[in-house]
Amino acid sequence: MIGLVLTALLACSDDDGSFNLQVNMVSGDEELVLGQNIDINGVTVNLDIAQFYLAGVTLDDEDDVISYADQYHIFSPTDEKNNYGDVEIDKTFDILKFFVGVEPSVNGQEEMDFTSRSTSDPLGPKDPQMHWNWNTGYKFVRLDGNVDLDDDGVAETQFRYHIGTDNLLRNVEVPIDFNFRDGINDVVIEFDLEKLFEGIDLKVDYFTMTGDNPPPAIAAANNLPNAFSKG
Amino acid sequence: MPLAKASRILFTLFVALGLGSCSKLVQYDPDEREVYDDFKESHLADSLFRNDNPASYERFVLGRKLFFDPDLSANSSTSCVSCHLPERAFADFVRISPGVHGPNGFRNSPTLINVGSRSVVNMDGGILHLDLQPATPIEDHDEMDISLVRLIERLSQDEKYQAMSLSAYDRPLDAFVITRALGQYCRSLVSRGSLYDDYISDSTTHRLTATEMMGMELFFSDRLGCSGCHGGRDFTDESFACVGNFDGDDQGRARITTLREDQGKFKVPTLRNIALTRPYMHDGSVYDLRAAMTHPLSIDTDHPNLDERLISFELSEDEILALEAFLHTLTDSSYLAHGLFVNEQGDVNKY
Repeated sequence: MIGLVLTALLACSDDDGSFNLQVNMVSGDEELVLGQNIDINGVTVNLDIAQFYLAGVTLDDEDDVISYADQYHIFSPTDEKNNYGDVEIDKTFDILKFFVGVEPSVNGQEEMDFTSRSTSDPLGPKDPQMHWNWNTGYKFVRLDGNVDLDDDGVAETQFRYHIGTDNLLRNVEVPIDFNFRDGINDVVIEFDLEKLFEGIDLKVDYFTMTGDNPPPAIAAANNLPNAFSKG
Repeated sequence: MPLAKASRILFTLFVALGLGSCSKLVQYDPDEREVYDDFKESHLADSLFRNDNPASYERFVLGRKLFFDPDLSANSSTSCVSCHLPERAFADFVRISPGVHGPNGFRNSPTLINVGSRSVVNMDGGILHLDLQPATPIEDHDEMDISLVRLIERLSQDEKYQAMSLSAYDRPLDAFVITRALGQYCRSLVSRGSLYDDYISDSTTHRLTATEMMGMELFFSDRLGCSGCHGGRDFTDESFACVGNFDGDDQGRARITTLREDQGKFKVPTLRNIALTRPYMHDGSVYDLRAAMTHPLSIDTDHPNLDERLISFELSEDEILALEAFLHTLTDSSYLAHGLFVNEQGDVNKY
Protein backbone atom coordinates (compact mmCIF):
# COMPACT_ATOMS: atom_id res chain seq x y z
CA MET A 1 0.00 0.00 0.00
CA ILE A 2 2.80 2.42 1.00
CA GLY A 3 4.53 1.59 -2.25
CA LEU A 4 1.41 2.39 -4.20
CA VAL A 5 0.99 5.75 -2.47
CA LEU A 6 4.62 6.63 -3.17
CA THR A 7 4.15 5.74 -6.79
CA ALA A 8 1.05 7.89 -6.94
CA LEU A 9 2.82 10.83 -5.28
CA LEU A 10 5.76 10.53 -7.60
CA ALA A 11 3.43 10.42 -10.55
CA CYS A 12 1.93 13.73 -9.41
CA SER A 13 5.21 15.51 -8.80
CA ASP A 14 6.27 18.56 -10.79
CA ASP A 15 8.07 18.16 -14.09
CA ASP A 16 6.14 15.04 -15.00
CA GLY A 17 3.91 14.69 -17.96
CA SER A 18 0.94 12.46 -18.35
CA PHE A 19 -0.30 11.15 -21.66
CA ASN A 20 -3.96 10.94 -22.62
CA LEU A 21 -5.08 9.57 -25.94
CA GLN A 22 -8.37 10.91 -27.24
CA VAL A 23 -10.09 9.36 -30.26
CA ASN A 24 -12.86 11.40 -31.86
CA MET A 25 -15.18 9.25 -33.91
CA VAL A 26 -16.48 11.02 -36.99
CA SER A 27 -17.94 10.38 -40.41
CA GLY A 28 -16.37 12.93 -42.71
CA ASP A 29 -17.14 16.28 -41.12
CA GLU A 30 -19.85 14.91 -38.82
CA GLU A 31 -19.21 13.90 -35.25
CA LEU A 32 -20.60 10.47 -34.37
CA VAL A 33 -23.26 10.68 -31.69
CA LEU A 34 -24.77 7.40 -30.56
CA GLY A 35 -28.49 7.16 -31.28
CA GLN A 36 -28.42 9.86 -33.95
CA ASN A 37 -28.41 9.43 -37.72
CA ILE A 38 -25.09 9.88 -39.43
CA ASP A 39 -24.20 9.85 -43.11
CA ILE A 40 -21.53 7.34 -44.05
CA ASN A 41 -20.59 7.66 -47.71
CA GLY A 42 -24.16 8.58 -48.64
CA VAL A 43 -25.87 5.95 -46.50
CA THR A 44 -27.78 6.89 -43.36
CA VAL A 45 -26.76 4.82 -40.34
CA ASN A 46 -27.83 5.14 -36.73
CA LEU A 47 -25.37 3.52 -34.32
CA ASP A 48 -26.10 2.69 -30.70
CA ILE A 49 -22.79 0.88 -30.10
CA ALA A 50 -19.48 1.96 -31.62
CA GLN A 51 -16.32 0.79 -29.89
CA PHE A 52 -13.01 -0.88 -30.51
CA TYR A 53 -9.88 -2.18 -28.80
CA LEU A 54 -6.78 -0.05 -29.16
CA ALA A 55 -3.48 -1.36 -27.79
CA GLY A 56 0.25 -1.65 -28.43
CA VAL A 57 0.68 2.10 -28.20
CA THR A 58 4.13 3.55 -28.77
CA LEU A 59 5.34 7.11 -29.20
CA ASP A 60 8.21 7.28 -31.66
CA ASP A 61 10.71 9.88 -32.66
CA GLU A 62 13.97 9.55 -34.55
CA ASP A 63 15.97 8.09 -31.68
CA ASP A 64 13.53 7.20 -28.94
CA VAL A 65 10.47 5.04 -28.38
CA ILE A 66 8.15 5.06 -25.39
CA SER A 67 6.03 1.97 -25.20
CA TYR A 68 2.67 1.43 -23.52
CA ALA A 69 2.37 -1.96 -25.17
CA ASP A 70 0.77 -3.76 -22.26
CA GLN A 71 -2.22 -1.40 -22.02
CA TYR A 72 -5.54 -2.27 -23.62
CA HIS A 73 -8.33 0.27 -23.80
CA ILE A 74 -11.78 0.30 -25.34
CA PHE A 75 -12.57 3.55 -27.12
CA SER A 76 -16.11 4.71 -27.87
CA PRO A 77 -17.92 8.02 -28.32
CA THR A 78 -18.82 7.94 -24.64
CA ASP A 79 -15.36 6.84 -23.53
CA GLU A 80 -13.19 8.73 -25.96
CA LYS A 81 -10.22 9.51 -23.75
CA ASN A 82 -7.91 7.14 -21.89
CA ASN A 83 -4.84 7.81 -19.81
CA TYR A 84 -1.61 5.94 -20.54
CA GLY A 85 0.45 7.27 -17.64
CA ASP A 86 3.79 9.07 -17.58
CA VAL A 87 5.48 10.50 -20.59
CA GLU A 88 8.84 12.13 -21.16
CA ILE A 89 8.38 15.91 -21.27
CA ASP A 90 9.92 18.69 -23.31
CA LYS A 91 10.17 16.27 -26.16
CA THR A 92 8.47 15.99 -29.50
CA PHE A 93 7.27 12.61 -30.74
CA ASP A 94 6.58 12.30 -34.43
CA ILE A 95 4.49 9.19 -34.71
CA LEU A 96 1.86 7.43 -32.65
CA LYS A 97 1.76 3.69 -33.36
CA PHE A 98 -0.85 1.20 -32.15
CA PHE A 99 -2.95 -1.68 -33.30
CA VAL A 100 -6.71 -2.11 -33.38
CA GLY A 101 -7.68 -5.43 -31.87
CA VAL A 102 -6.19 -7.91 -29.44
CA GLU A 103 -2.87 -9.61 -30.04
CA PRO A 104 -3.06 -13.35 -30.80
CA SER A 105 -1.46 -14.52 -27.55
CA VAL A 106 -4.29 -12.84 -25.62
CA ASN A 107 -7.01 -13.36 -28.19
CA GLY A 108 -6.41 -17.13 -28.16
CA GLN A 109 -7.63 -17.26 -24.56
CA GLU A 110 -5.76 -20.47 -23.86
CA GLU A 111 -3.92 -19.23 -20.80
CA MET A 112 -6.20 -16.51 -19.44
CA ASP A 113 -9.58 -16.18 -21.06
CA PHE A 114 -11.94 -13.26 -20.63
CA THR A 115 -13.89 -14.97 -17.85
CA SER A 116 -10.69 -15.14 -15.78
CA ARG A 117 -10.47 -11.36 -15.80
CA SER A 118 -12.28 -8.77 -13.75
CA THR A 119 -15.12 -6.78 -15.29
CA SER A 120 -12.98 -3.67 -14.67
CA ASP A 121 -10.26 -5.09 -16.92
CA PRO A 122 -10.76 -3.92 -20.53
CA LEU A 123 -10.20 -7.53 -21.55
CA GLY A 124 -12.69 -8.89 -19.01
CA PRO A 125 -16.44 -9.45 -19.52
CA LYS A 126 -18.15 -6.36 -20.90
CA ASP A 127 -21.69 -5.17 -21.47
CA PRO A 128 -22.12 -4.68 -24.39
CA GLN A 129 -19.90 -7.66 -25.02
CA MET A 130 -16.54 -7.20 -26.68
CA HIS A 131 -15.86 -10.94 -26.71
CA TRP A 132 -17.50 -13.59 -28.77
CA ASN A 133 -19.23 -16.26 -26.80
CA TRP A 134 -19.71 -18.76 -29.66
CA ASN A 135 -16.12 -18.44 -30.75
CA THR A 136 -12.80 -17.90 -29.09
CA GLY A 137 -11.63 -14.33 -29.04
CA TYR A 138 -12.56 -10.70 -28.91
CA LYS A 139 -14.53 -8.40 -31.15
CA PHE A 140 -11.81 -5.97 -32.20
CA VAL A 141 -14.32 -3.49 -33.57
CA ARG A 142 -18.03 -3.46 -32.74
CA LEU A 143 -20.52 -1.26 -34.56
CA ASP A 144 -24.22 -1.95 -33.90
CA GLY A 145 -27.26 -0.03 -34.99
CA ASN A 146 -29.56 0.33 -37.98
CA VAL A 147 -29.15 1.32 -41.60
CA ASP A 148 -31.56 3.08 -43.95
CA LEU A 149 -31.93 0.84 -46.98
CA ASP A 150 -34.95 2.53 -48.61
CA ASP A 151 -33.70 6.12 -48.45
CA ASP A 152 -36.64 7.37 -46.40
CA GLY A 153 -34.38 8.90 -43.77
CA VAL A 154 -35.21 6.23 -41.21
CA ALA A 155 -32.57 3.64 -40.34
CA GLU A 156 -34.81 0.58 -40.16
CA THR A 157 -32.61 -2.44 -40.88
CA GLN A 158 -30.27 -4.05 -38.39
CA PHE A 159 -26.65 -3.01 -38.94
CA ARG A 160 -23.81 -5.06 -37.45
CA TYR A 161 -20.06 -4.97 -37.97
CA HIS A 162 -18.28 -7.23 -35.51
CA ILE A 163 -14.71 -7.46 -36.74
CA GLY A 164 -12.28 -9.88 -35.13
CA THR A 165 -10.02 -12.95 -35.44
CA ASP A 166 -6.22 -12.89 -35.39
CA ASN A 167 -5.90 -12.36 -39.13
CA LEU A 168 -7.74 -9.05 -38.96
CA LEU A 169 -5.57 -7.31 -36.38
CA ARG A 170 -4.27 -4.18 -38.05
CA ASN A 171 -1.34 -1.88 -37.21
CA VAL A 172 -1.86 1.84 -37.44
CA GLU A 173 0.59 4.75 -37.59
CA VAL A 174 -0.56 8.32 -37.13
CA PRO A 175 1.84 11.25 -37.61
CA ILE A 176 1.27 13.49 -34.59
CA ASP A 177 4.34 15.72 -34.26
CA PHE A 178 3.33 16.38 -30.65
CA ASN A 179 5.45 18.19 -28.09
CA PHE A 180 4.85 16.79 -24.59
CA ARG A 181 4.95 19.24 -21.73
CA ASP A 182 4.61 19.28 -17.97
CA GLY A 183 1.12 18.22 -16.87
CA ILE A 184 -1.56 16.44 -18.82
CA ASN A 185 -1.04 16.05 -22.55
CA ASP A 186 -4.06 15.20 -24.69
CA VAL A 187 -3.10 13.64 -27.98
CA VAL A 188 -6.20 13.82 -30.17
CA ILE A 189 -6.75 11.66 -33.21
CA GLU A 190 -9.77 11.01 -35.41
CA PHE A 191 -11.37 7.73 -36.41
CA ASP A 192 -13.35 8.33 -39.62
CA LEU A 193 -16.17 5.90 -40.45
CA GLU A 194 -16.23 7.10 -44.06
CA LYS A 195 -12.67 5.92 -44.46
CA LEU A 196 -13.38 2.69 -42.56
CA PHE A 197 -16.14 1.82 -45.03
CA GLU A 198 -14.46 3.14 -48.16
CA GLY A 199 -15.21 0.79 -51.05
CA ILE A 200 -17.93 -1.02 -49.11
CA ASP A 201 -21.55 -0.61 -50.16
CA LEU A 202 -23.33 -0.39 -46.81
CA LYS A 203 -26.68 -0.97 -48.49
CA VAL A 204 -25.43 -4.40 -49.50
CA ASP A 205 -22.93 -5.34 -46.82
CA TYR A 206 -24.45 -4.15 -43.57
CA PHE A 207 -24.20 -7.30 -41.47
CA THR A 208 -21.09 -9.28 -40.59
CA MET A 209 -19.91 -11.11 -37.52
CA THR A 210 -16.71 -11.83 -39.47
CA GLY A 211 -17.17 -15.63 -39.50
CA ASP A 212 -20.59 -15.61 -41.13
CA ASN A 213 -19.69 -13.05 -43.79
CA PRO A 214 -15.93 -12.51 -44.00
CA PRO A 215 -15.52 -10.26 -47.11
CA PRO A 216 -16.92 -6.99 -45.66
CA ALA A 217 -15.18 -7.60 -42.32
CA ILE A 218 -11.86 -8.09 -44.13
CA ALA A 219 -12.44 -5.03 -46.30
CA ALA A 220 -13.20 -2.85 -43.28
CA ALA A 221 -10.19 -4.22 -41.37
CA ASN A 222 -7.97 -3.42 -44.34
CA ASN A 223 -9.24 0.15 -44.23
CA LEU A 224 -8.39 0.59 -40.54
CA PRO A 225 -4.84 1.95 -41.04
CA ASN A 226 -6.22 4.78 -43.19
CA ALA A 227 -9.22 5.50 -40.98
CA PHE A 228 -7.12 7.22 -38.29
CA SER A 229 -5.56 10.65 -38.61
CA LYS A 230 -4.35 13.47 -36.40
CA GLY A 231 -7.30 15.29 -34.87
CA MET B 1 1.89 -3.52 16.97
CA PRO B 2 3.61 -3.71 13.59
CA LEU B 3 1.31 -2.86 10.70
CA ALA B 4 1.90 -6.14 8.89
CA LYS B 5 1.02 -8.20 11.98
CA ALA B 6 -2.14 -6.18 12.60
CA SER B 7 -3.15 -6.68 8.97
CA ARG B 8 -2.69 -10.42 9.27
CA ILE B 9 -4.83 -10.56 12.40
CA LEU B 10 -7.56 -8.48 10.77
CA PHE B 11 -7.45 -10.66 7.68
CA THR B 12 -7.69 -13.84 9.78
CA LEU B 13 -10.66 -12.39 11.67
CA PHE B 14 -12.31 -11.41 8.42
CA VAL B 15 -11.85 -14.87 6.96
CA ALA B 16 -13.09 -16.52 10.16
CA LEU B 17 -16.19 -14.32 10.22
CA GLY B 18 -16.72 -14.90 6.53
CA LEU B 19 -16.49 -18.65 6.81
CA GLY B 20 -18.74 -18.61 9.84
CA SER B 21 -21.46 -16.81 7.95
CA CYS B 22 -20.89 -19.04 4.91
CA SER B 23 -21.47 -22.17 6.92
CA LYS B 24 -24.84 -20.83 8.09
CA LEU B 25 -25.93 -20.07 4.55
CA VAL B 26 -24.75 -23.29 2.97
CA GLN B 27 -25.53 -26.60 4.57
CA TYR B 28 -23.94 -29.32 2.51
CA ASP B 29 -25.57 -32.72 2.77
CA PRO B 30 -23.01 -35.14 4.28
CA ASP B 31 -24.78 -38.18 2.82
CA GLU B 32 -24.72 -36.70 -0.64
CA ARG B 33 -21.09 -35.70 -0.22
CA GLU B 34 -20.35 -39.36 0.45
CA VAL B 35 -22.22 -40.38 -2.72
CA TYR B 36 -20.25 -37.76 -4.66
CA ASP B 37 -16.93 -38.94 -3.25
CA ASP B 38 -17.72 -42.52 -4.26
CA PHE B 39 -18.80 -41.36 -7.71
CA LYS B 40 -15.70 -39.23 -8.09
CA GLU B 41 -13.50 -42.16 -7.13
CA SER B 42 -15.12 -44.44 -9.69
CA HIS B 43 -15.98 -42.08 -12.55
CA LEU B 44 -14.17 -38.74 -12.39
CA ALA B 45 -10.53 -39.11 -13.33
CA ASP B 46 -8.36 -36.10 -12.50
CA SER B 47 -7.52 -35.80 -16.20
CA LEU B 48 -11.15 -34.99 -16.92
CA PHE B 49 -10.74 -31.63 -15.20
CA ARG B 50 -8.57 -28.67 -16.10
CA ASN B 51 -5.79 -27.56 -13.82
CA ASP B 52 -7.61 -24.34 -12.93
CA ASN B 53 -10.74 -26.22 -11.94
CA PRO B 54 -10.03 -29.52 -10.18
CA ALA B 55 -13.03 -31.51 -9.03
CA SER B 56 -14.63 -30.89 -5.65
CA TYR B 57 -18.05 -31.49 -4.15
CA GLU B 58 -18.55 -27.79 -3.38
CA ARG B 59 -17.85 -26.82 -6.99
CA PHE B 60 -20.11 -29.54 -8.32
CA VAL B 61 -22.98 -28.43 -6.07
CA LEU B 62 -22.56 -24.79 -7.07
CA GLY B 63 -22.52 -25.81 -10.74
CA ARG B 64 -25.67 -27.85 -10.28
CA LYS B 65 -27.46 -24.96 -8.57
CA LEU B 66 -26.52 -22.69 -11.46
CA PHE B 67 -27.56 -25.30 -14.03
CA PHE B 68 -31.08 -25.44 -12.63
CA ASP B 69 -31.47 -21.71 -12.00
CA PRO B 70 -33.68 -19.72 -14.44
CA ASP B 71 -32.11 -16.51 -13.12
CA LEU B 72 -29.32 -17.27 -15.55
CA SER B 73 -31.56 -15.89 -18.31
CA ALA B 74 -32.55 -12.30 -19.05
CA ASN B 75 -36.18 -12.68 -17.96
CA SER B 76 -35.59 -15.48 -15.44
CA SER B 77 -37.56 -17.91 -17.60
CA THR B 78 -34.92 -20.28 -18.88
CA SER B 79 -32.28 -22.35 -17.16
CA CYS B 80 -29.69 -24.70 -18.61
CA VAL B 81 -31.93 -27.63 -17.75
CA SER B 82 -34.74 -26.12 -19.85
CA CYS B 83 -32.88 -27.32 -22.96
CA HIS B 84 -30.80 -30.15 -21.46
CA LEU B 85 -33.30 -32.49 -19.88
CA PRO B 86 -31.84 -35.13 -17.55
CA GLU B 87 -34.30 -37.80 -18.75
CA ARG B 88 -33.18 -37.13 -22.33
CA ALA B 89 -29.50 -37.65 -21.58
CA PHE B 90 -29.35 -33.87 -21.08
CA ALA B 91 -30.53 -33.18 -24.65
CA ASP B 92 -33.94 -31.83 -25.69
CA PHE B 93 -36.89 -33.44 -27.46
CA VAL B 94 -37.67 -30.49 -29.72
CA ARG B 95 -35.95 -29.51 -32.93
CA ILE B 96 -34.83 -26.10 -31.68
CA SER B 97 -35.09 -25.37 -27.98
CA PRO B 98 -36.85 -22.12 -27.17
CA GLY B 99 -34.71 -19.39 -25.67
CA VAL B 100 -36.02 -16.39 -23.79
CA HIS B 101 -37.41 -14.94 -27.03
CA GLY B 102 -38.75 -18.23 -28.44
CA PRO B 103 -37.21 -20.90 -30.68
CA ASN B 104 -35.01 -18.51 -32.62
CA GLY B 105 -31.80 -20.52 -32.49
CA PHE B 106 -30.55 -22.63 -35.33
CA ARG B 107 -29.08 -25.76 -33.77
CA ASN B 108 -30.45 -28.75 -31.92
CA SER B 109 -29.61 -29.07 -28.23
CA PRO B 110 -26.90 -31.75 -27.86
CA THR B 111 -26.53 -34.37 -25.12
CA LEU B 112 -24.24 -33.41 -22.26
CA ILE B 113 -23.53 -36.92 -21.02
CA ASN B 114 -19.75 -37.49 -21.23
CA VAL B 115 -19.30 -34.03 -22.74
CA GLY B 116 -16.22 -33.56 -20.56
CA SER B 117 -14.38 -36.04 -22.77
CA ARG B 118 -14.84 -33.97 -25.90
CA SER B 119 -11.75 -32.21 -27.23
CA VAL B 120 -13.62 -29.09 -28.39
CA VAL B 121 -17.09 -27.83 -27.64
CA ASN B 122 -20.07 -26.73 -29.73
CA MET B 123 -20.99 -28.31 -33.04
CA ASP B 124 -18.63 -26.03 -34.94
CA GLY B 125 -15.81 -26.47 -32.43
CA GLY B 126 -15.74 -22.75 -31.71
CA ILE B 127 -15.06 -23.12 -28.01
CA LEU B 128 -11.78 -24.58 -26.86
CA HIS B 129 -12.86 -26.05 -23.57
CA LEU B 130 -15.97 -26.87 -21.63
CA ASP B 131 -15.26 -24.52 -18.73
CA LEU B 132 -15.59 -21.57 -21.07
CA GLN B 133 -18.63 -22.88 -22.93
CA PRO B 134 -21.35 -21.75 -20.47
CA ALA B 135 -20.83 -18.18 -21.69
CA THR B 136 -22.28 -19.27 -25.04
CA PRO B 137 -25.87 -20.04 -24.02
CA ILE B 138 -25.89 -17.48 -21.22
CA GLU B 139 -25.02 -14.55 -23.49
CA ASP B 140 -26.52 -15.75 -26.77
CA HIS B 141 -29.49 -13.57 -27.76
CA ASP B 142 -31.31 -16.66 -29.01
CA GLU B 143 -30.80 -18.54 -25.76
CA MET B 144 -30.58 -16.95 -22.31
CA ASP B 145 -29.61 -13.48 -23.50
CA ILE B 146 -27.95 -12.00 -20.46
CA SER B 147 -24.45 -10.57 -20.40
CA LEU B 148 -22.06 -12.01 -17.87
CA VAL B 149 -21.69 -8.51 -16.41
CA ARG B 150 -25.42 -8.29 -15.68
CA LEU B 151 -25.53 -11.88 -14.46
CA ILE B 152 -22.72 -11.28 -11.99
CA GLU B 153 -24.55 -8.20 -10.69
CA ARG B 154 -27.77 -10.19 -10.35
CA LEU B 155 -26.41 -13.31 -8.67
CA SER B 156 -24.07 -11.34 -6.42
CA GLN B 157 -27.16 -10.03 -4.63
CA ASP B 158 -27.81 -13.59 -3.47
CA GLU B 159 -25.99 -14.28 -0.21
CA LYS B 160 -26.24 -18.00 -0.73
CA TYR B 161 -24.49 -17.80 -4.09
CA GLN B 162 -21.79 -15.63 -2.58
CA ALA B 163 -21.28 -18.09 0.26
CA MET B 164 -21.15 -21.04 -2.12
CA SER B 165 -18.69 -19.20 -4.35
CA LEU B 166 -16.35 -18.52 -1.43
CA SER B 167 -16.68 -22.07 -0.25
CA ALA B 168 -16.05 -23.58 -3.69
CA TYR B 169 -13.53 -21.18 -5.24
CA ASP B 170 -12.38 -18.95 -2.38
CA ARG B 171 -13.40 -15.84 -4.31
CA PRO B 172 -16.55 -13.78 -4.72
CA LEU B 173 -18.94 -14.78 -7.46
CA ASP B 174 -17.63 -13.64 -10.83
CA ALA B 175 -17.47 -14.81 -14.44
CA PHE B 176 -14.73 -17.29 -13.62
CA VAL B 177 -16.76 -18.89 -10.85
CA ILE B 178 -19.97 -19.04 -12.89
CA THR B 179 -18.35 -20.62 -15.94
CA ARG B 180 -16.06 -22.93 -13.99
CA ALA B 181 -18.78 -24.20 -11.67
CA LEU B 182 -21.04 -24.96 -14.64
CA GLY B 183 -18.07 -26.58 -16.37
CA GLN B 184 -17.46 -28.64 -13.27
CA TYR B 185 -21.04 -29.88 -13.23
CA CYS B 186 -21.01 -30.71 -16.95
CA ARG B 187 -17.66 -32.50 -16.74
CA SER B 188 -19.13 -34.61 -13.97
CA LEU B 189 -21.95 -35.88 -16.21
CA VAL B 190 -20.13 -39.13 -16.81
CA SER B 191 -22.03 -42.29 -17.53
CA ARG B 192 -21.00 -45.44 -19.32
CA GLY B 193 -23.41 -47.97 -17.90
CA SER B 194 -25.25 -49.09 -21.02
CA LEU B 195 -26.03 -52.66 -21.96
CA TYR B 196 -23.28 -52.38 -24.56
CA ASP B 197 -20.78 -51.26 -21.86
CA ASP B 198 -21.80 -54.20 -19.69
CA TYR B 199 -21.39 -56.57 -22.61
CA ILE B 200 -17.94 -55.20 -23.46
CA SER B 201 -16.77 -55.45 -19.86
CA ASP B 202 -18.07 -59.01 -19.36
CA SER B 203 -19.71 -60.78 -22.26
CA THR B 204 -20.27 -63.95 -20.28
CA THR B 205 -22.56 -62.29 -17.75
CA HIS B 206 -24.09 -59.66 -20.00
CA ARG B 207 -25.46 -60.96 -23.27
CA LEU B 208 -26.75 -59.20 -26.32
CA THR B 209 -29.63 -60.72 -28.29
CA ALA B 210 -28.94 -62.22 -31.69
CA THR B 211 -30.47 -59.17 -33.35
CA GLU B 212 -28.36 -56.78 -31.28
CA MET B 213 -25.25 -58.83 -32.09
CA MET B 214 -26.10 -58.69 -35.78
CA GLY B 215 -26.51 -54.92 -35.52
CA MET B 216 -23.20 -54.56 -33.72
CA GLU B 217 -21.40 -56.53 -36.42
CA LEU B 218 -23.00 -54.41 -39.11
CA PHE B 219 -22.09 -51.22 -37.26
CA PHE B 220 -18.41 -52.13 -37.06
CA SER B 221 -18.29 -53.63 -40.55
CA ASP B 222 -16.32 -52.14 -43.45
CA ARG B 223 -19.43 -52.50 -45.56
CA LEU B 224 -21.28 -49.80 -43.64
CA GLY B 225 -18.30 -47.97 -42.16
CA CYS B 226 -20.33 -46.42 -39.31
CA SER B 227 -17.44 -46.69 -36.88
CA GLY B 228 -15.18 -44.83 -39.30
CA CYS B 229 -16.64 -41.63 -37.87
CA HIS B 230 -18.57 -42.94 -34.87
CA GLY B 231 -15.63 -44.81 -33.39
CA GLY B 232 -13.98 -44.74 -29.99
CA ARG B 233 -15.34 -45.08 -26.51
CA ASP B 234 -18.05 -42.47 -27.04
CA PHE B 235 -18.78 -43.36 -30.66
CA THR B 236 -17.28 -40.20 -32.13
CA ASP B 237 -13.86 -39.63 -33.62
CA GLU B 238 -14.15 -35.92 -32.78
CA SER B 239 -13.71 -34.94 -36.42
CA PHE B 240 -15.80 -32.46 -38.38
CA ALA B 241 -17.78 -33.96 -41.20
CA CYS B 242 -20.27 -32.89 -43.82
CA VAL B 243 -23.01 -35.45 -44.34
CA GLY B 244 -25.03 -33.65 -46.98
CA ASN B 245 -27.04 -30.56 -47.62
CA PHE B 246 -29.47 -29.15 -45.13
CA ASP B 247 -31.91 -26.30 -45.25
CA GLY B 248 -30.76 -23.03 -43.89
CA ASP B 249 -27.46 -21.25 -44.13
CA ASP B 250 -25.56 -22.64 -41.16
CA GLN B 251 -21.88 -22.47 -42.11
CA GLY B 252 -20.92 -25.17 -39.61
CA ARG B 253 -17.19 -25.37 -38.96
CA ALA B 254 -16.58 -22.61 -41.51
CA ARG B 255 -18.30 -20.19 -39.14
CA ILE B 256 -15.14 -20.50 -37.05
CA THR B 257 -12.43 -21.08 -39.63
CA THR B 258 -14.03 -19.03 -42.47
CA LEU B 259 -12.64 -21.69 -44.84
CA ARG B 260 -14.75 -22.71 -47.81
CA GLU B 261 -13.70 -26.34 -47.36
CA ASP B 262 -15.24 -26.33 -43.87
CA GLN B 263 -18.68 -25.22 -44.99
CA GLY B 264 -21.35 -27.69 -43.92
CA LYS B 265 -19.05 -29.58 -41.58
CA PHE B 266 -20.16 -30.31 -38.02
CA LYS B 267 -18.58 -32.19 -35.17
CA VAL B 268 -19.37 -35.90 -35.39
CA PRO B 269 -21.81 -36.44 -32.50
CA THR B 270 -21.60 -39.18 -29.93
CA LEU B 271 -24.06 -42.03 -30.44
CA ARG B 272 -24.33 -42.81 -26.75
CA ASN B 273 -27.96 -42.52 -25.66
CA ILE B 274 -28.91 -41.96 -29.28
CA ALA B 275 -32.35 -43.46 -28.65
CA LEU B 276 -33.01 -40.71 -26.08
CA THR B 277 -31.68 -37.71 -27.95
CA ARG B 278 -33.97 -37.37 -30.96
CA PRO B 279 -34.44 -35.27 -33.04
CA TYR B 280 -31.11 -35.66 -34.82
CA MET B 281 -28.57 -33.77 -36.95
CA HIS B 282 -27.21 -30.33 -36.11
CA ASP B 283 -30.53 -28.70 -36.96
CA GLY B 284 -32.81 -31.35 -35.47
CA SER B 285 -34.30 -31.96 -38.91
CA VAL B 286 -34.35 -35.77 -38.65
CA TYR B 287 -36.97 -36.87 -36.19
CA ASP B 288 -36.54 -40.60 -35.68
CA LEU B 289 -33.72 -43.02 -35.20
CA ARG B 290 -34.42 -45.09 -38.27
CA ALA B 291 -34.36 -42.01 -40.49
CA ALA B 292 -31.11 -40.91 -38.88
CA MET B 293 -29.59 -44.36 -39.41
CA THR B 294 -30.49 -44.45 -43.05
CA HIS B 295 -29.59 -40.82 -43.62
CA PRO B 296 -26.38 -41.78 -45.48
CA LEU B 297 -28.59 -43.57 -48.01
CA SER B 298 -30.47 -40.43 -48.90
CA ILE B 299 -27.80 -37.78 -48.81
CA ASP B 300 -27.35 -35.14 -51.43
CA THR B 301 -24.05 -36.15 -52.90
CA ASP B 302 -23.65 -32.82 -54.69
CA HIS B 303 -22.25 -31.07 -51.64
CA PRO B 304 -18.64 -30.16 -52.44
CA ASN B 305 -17.48 -30.93 -48.90
CA LEU B 306 -19.28 -34.25 -48.54
CA ASP B 307 -17.22 -36.45 -46.24
CA GLU B 308 -15.32 -39.04 -48.26
CA ARG B 309 -15.83 -41.63 -45.56
CA LEU B 310 -19.51 -41.77 -46.38
CA ILE B 311 -20.13 -44.82 -48.53
CA SER B 312 -23.31 -45.89 -50.19
CA PHE B 313 -24.85 -49.19 -49.17
CA GLU B 314 -28.13 -51.01 -49.20
CA LEU B 315 -29.77 -52.48 -46.13
CA SER B 316 -32.45 -55.12 -45.82
CA GLU B 317 -35.31 -54.58 -43.41
CA ASP B 318 -33.76 -57.16 -41.05
CA GLU B 319 -30.47 -55.29 -41.12
CA ILE B 320 -32.15 -51.99 -40.35
CA LEU B 321 -33.93 -53.59 -37.40
CA ALA B 322 -30.67 -55.10 -36.19
CA LEU B 323 -28.81 -51.79 -36.40
CA GLU B 324 -31.60 -50.07 -34.56
CA ALA B 325 -31.53 -52.74 -31.86
CA PHE B 326 -27.78 -52.30 -31.44
CA LEU B 327 -28.08 -48.54 -31.12
CA HIS B 328 -30.63 -49.08 -28.35
CA THR B 329 -27.97 -50.99 -26.39
CA LEU B 330 -26.11 -47.66 -26.12
CA THR B 331 -28.89 -46.25 -23.97
CA ASP B 332 -27.84 -45.64 -20.41
CA SER B 333 -30.08 -44.15 -17.77
CA SER B 334 -27.92 -45.26 -14.85
CA TYR B 335 -26.78 -41.65 -14.40
CA LEU B 336 -30.20 -40.91 -12.97
CA ALA B 337 -29.96 -43.60 -10.28
CA HIS B 338 -27.52 -41.97 -7.88
CA GLY B 339 -29.45 -38.70 -7.89
CA LEU B 340 -26.36 -36.47 -8.03
CA PHE B 341 -27.13 -34.91 -11.38
CA VAL B 342 -30.63 -33.75 -10.61
CA ASN B 343 -32.03 -31.69 -7.82
CA GLU B 344 -35.68 -31.13 -7.17
CA GLN B 345 -36.80 -29.84 -10.52
CA GLY B 346 -36.69 -26.09 -10.47
CA ASP B 347 -35.88 -25.96 -6.80
CA VAL B 348 -32.87 -23.74 -6.94
CA ASN B 349 -32.99 -23.09 -3.23
CA LYS B 350 -32.21 -26.62 -2.21
CA TYR B 351 -28.75 -25.60 -1.05
